[in-house]
Amino acid sequence: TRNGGSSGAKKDDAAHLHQFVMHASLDFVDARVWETTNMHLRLVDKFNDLSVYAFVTAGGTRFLLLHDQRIEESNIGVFFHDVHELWLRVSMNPFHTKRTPILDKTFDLRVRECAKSHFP
Amino acid sequence: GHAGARGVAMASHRTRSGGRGNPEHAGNAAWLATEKVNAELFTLTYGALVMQVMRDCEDCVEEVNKRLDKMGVSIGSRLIEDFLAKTNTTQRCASFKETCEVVALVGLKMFLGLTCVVTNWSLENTECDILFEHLNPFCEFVELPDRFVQDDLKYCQLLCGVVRGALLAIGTKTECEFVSDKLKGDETFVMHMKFLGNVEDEYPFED
Repeated sequence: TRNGGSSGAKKDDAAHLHQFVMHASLDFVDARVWETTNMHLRLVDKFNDLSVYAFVTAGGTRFLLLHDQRIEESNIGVFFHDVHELWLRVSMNPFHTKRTPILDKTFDLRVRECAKSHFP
Repeated sequence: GHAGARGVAMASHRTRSGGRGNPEHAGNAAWLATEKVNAELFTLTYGALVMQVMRDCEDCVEEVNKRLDKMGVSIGSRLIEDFLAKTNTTQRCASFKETCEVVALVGLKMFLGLTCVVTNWSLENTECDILFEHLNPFCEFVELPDRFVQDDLKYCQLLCGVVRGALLAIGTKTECEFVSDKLKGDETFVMHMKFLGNVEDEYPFED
């Protein structure tokens, strides 16, 4: 229930910027995929103080992690791995398709828990 | 290994006296003696089946429930003879109570590896509940989208059809419905069984 004003607008701007940066990084993801056999592609793009890390599954599903501070690289790999496990369960849901957004609240909760535990 | 499993099944056959023996033992023995298939493959296959039915019925949940049930009836009516042969059943069940115990403790165990509890019998022993801790062969990985929870999609309805179809083929009319469904947010899976009557020489299937 925070009133609008400049703080609200700034939050919106940040969200838009983040989305833009992540989408822009997809080209780099697609290029990097051919340079390694790992699913974890590590850092694929930077924009000012924003960094994008990527993880691509065999079937071409991309996980992107956007961060605005330098963090322990090794944690990102484990984080992606855990999210991958969570995603595997979602992908096995017969109601899930590659085109549909994942609306499952349990998945959302678990990913957030994952993030909290790896990036305190 | 496989020889050991066969050994267990044969041992139970030899020690069987006139009666049916303990249904739990019979169920475990039958489960051990059966060839298995990968559980994930089964789960994905059933999921694909439901999705296809949903597409065919254009997401009309009521129609999907009916179709899953009908498929189940078709499977159950075929399954029953094989089941009775495999469990070496020479005697009729003496009561609906015995019937439900055989269905739950032998049948569901043998075909799906499910462990369940038969409970909440009505005073006349015509109704009961079958409690499942999980229905993983069907439901693992499944998350129903909210709209299908609201529209009451009965994802496991095929299983109800199987039970009803199997019993109908041997002359026992029943109602069989899930009254508690984990996929809809309930705590457990509970299948409610209700005895409706015996039928003689009635051909129940549409041709």
